[in-house]
Amino acid sequence: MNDAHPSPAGDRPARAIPAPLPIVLAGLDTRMRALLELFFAGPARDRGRLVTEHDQTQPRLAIVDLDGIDAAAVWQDLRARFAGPAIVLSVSEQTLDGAVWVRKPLQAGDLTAAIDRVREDLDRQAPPTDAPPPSHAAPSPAADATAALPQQPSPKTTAAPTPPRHRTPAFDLTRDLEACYGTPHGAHPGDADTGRLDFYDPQRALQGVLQKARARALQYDDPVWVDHRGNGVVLFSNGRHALVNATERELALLCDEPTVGDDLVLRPAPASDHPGPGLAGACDADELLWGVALRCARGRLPWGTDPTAVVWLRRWPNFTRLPIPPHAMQIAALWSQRPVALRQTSALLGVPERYVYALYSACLALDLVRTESRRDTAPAPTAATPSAEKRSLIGGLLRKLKLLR
Amino acid sequence: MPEHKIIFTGPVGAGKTTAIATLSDIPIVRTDEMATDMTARRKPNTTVAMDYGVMNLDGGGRVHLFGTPGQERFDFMWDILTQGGLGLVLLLDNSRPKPFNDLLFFLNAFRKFVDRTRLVVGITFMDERPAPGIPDYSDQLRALGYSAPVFEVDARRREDVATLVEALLYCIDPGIVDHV
Repeated sequence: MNDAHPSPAGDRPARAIPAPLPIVLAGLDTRMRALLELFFAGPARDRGRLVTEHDQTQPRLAIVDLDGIDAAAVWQDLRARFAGPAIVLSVSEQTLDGAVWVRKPLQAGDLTAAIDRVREDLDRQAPPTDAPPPSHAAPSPAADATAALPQQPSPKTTAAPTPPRHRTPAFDLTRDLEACYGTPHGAHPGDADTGRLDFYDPQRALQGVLQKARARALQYDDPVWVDHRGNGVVLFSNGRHALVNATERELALLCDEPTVGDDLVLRPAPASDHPGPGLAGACDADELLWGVALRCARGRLPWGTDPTAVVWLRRWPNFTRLPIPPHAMQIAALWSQRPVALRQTSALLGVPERYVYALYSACLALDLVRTESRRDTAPAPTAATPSAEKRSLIGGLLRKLKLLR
Repeated sequence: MPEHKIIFTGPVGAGKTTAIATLSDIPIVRTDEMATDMTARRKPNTTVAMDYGVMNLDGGGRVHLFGTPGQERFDFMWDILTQGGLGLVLLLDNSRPKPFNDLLFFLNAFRKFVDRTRLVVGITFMDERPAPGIPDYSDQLRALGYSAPVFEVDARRREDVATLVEALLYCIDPGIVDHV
């Protein structure tokens, strides 16, 4: 209880005044910087204090002007050095990850409201344990301190076991083509070119566990940790990011297990693995799930799929950011133009069935396809077939493009 | 020898000039000038007529790459540019305030061309502003009756632009691999 700061409400316990947030400035011109120096030396001294790269204190908030001609570079430079929350000042609306927009011309009330909002978010992420005493030290002379180098937030102690800090960025589980798509000679149990249909159960494989964790993280707006003997994967509540605390090989071995069983346990993610605004070290959750689904499927269909049911593409996979399975582009193009049965897709395009099934399984994991349980009776593609001359030119261009990527 | 062209369009600063430069076999022919209007804040130089590049193919074929002027006051050139085009590459800058408005604007502007050819959409600057996401654009397109590929693109990355154009070609003819 702090008698020196009685609660205005009278009936609530008084709270210690939080220390002003250390703030770094970026991209501000001299005039704006001088204004903010005055602001944080005067009316907002309890809310924030300006720090520079020379200070011992690491910033917890950045204020950045995004109306300069080099705004993009300023933002990228800031993000390369500081992963914490930012307040962006701009005449036009900005919706950047981890940033609060404050409209210019700048109003003191808007800025203090934004700072309060950031502080609330920070407090939510890291409930104060031993709050430092309030500091009313005079603010440092401010400078455009994009070069300030804050450290990563230190891991917080929690009751739950903490995954190691090893974090794998993007990786490719599909490098081994045979492991992902089988072989044409039936040597692989997942091969479908032998005329025999083979299925896998995504729900019992790593794929299903990750999908469940992602859904739960979204539903409860809290990160979920897929714990594999202290390692594993954390799926963030935004549904877009994940942290992988395992090697590519460990993950591939898990994918190869038809039933992962009790090896994997879903837990609330430790606070230290809650995503900060910068999401440092996170990988794309779609990319992770795509690779896992391809590897789990190994050219097979999910259990219960009717190969005569027609398939159509709701959305294209983001092929510039996902591994592209063989023939995937032409299969996707066909499915985007009309519903076609899985088996007929293979026949129409002259593509081995295992590639059709692999793409279908991966698309299904990302909810990109729909199926209808009717037999494909549709006529051949309705789009006018290009002339022979045009096809020859397009073929030549495709060859060249494939060499470029 | 067969010659065709691919059209790159999109708002100012979306990366049309850069995308063409990453694919072209010749130094890109630019018609940039210093911008004097509000576009100057986004991009000091802007395309006032068109950009031009070319891809030379084995056997002597060529594909011409044309970038439309980004500013709407040059839209009288768009119809001329699209004549004989294989398809449209629409690049949208995700960091602009209302990218869906841009999508709608360019789809309306090129509707006749897209309806008789094919369309692909590349979203640039997603690293600066991740929202709206790729699924959001796909849903917008579907609501407008299009099932075009939508990919995240860094116009400076050749593999990104090549993948986008590759998707355009497969949309023109998914069975084309038989004839490669």
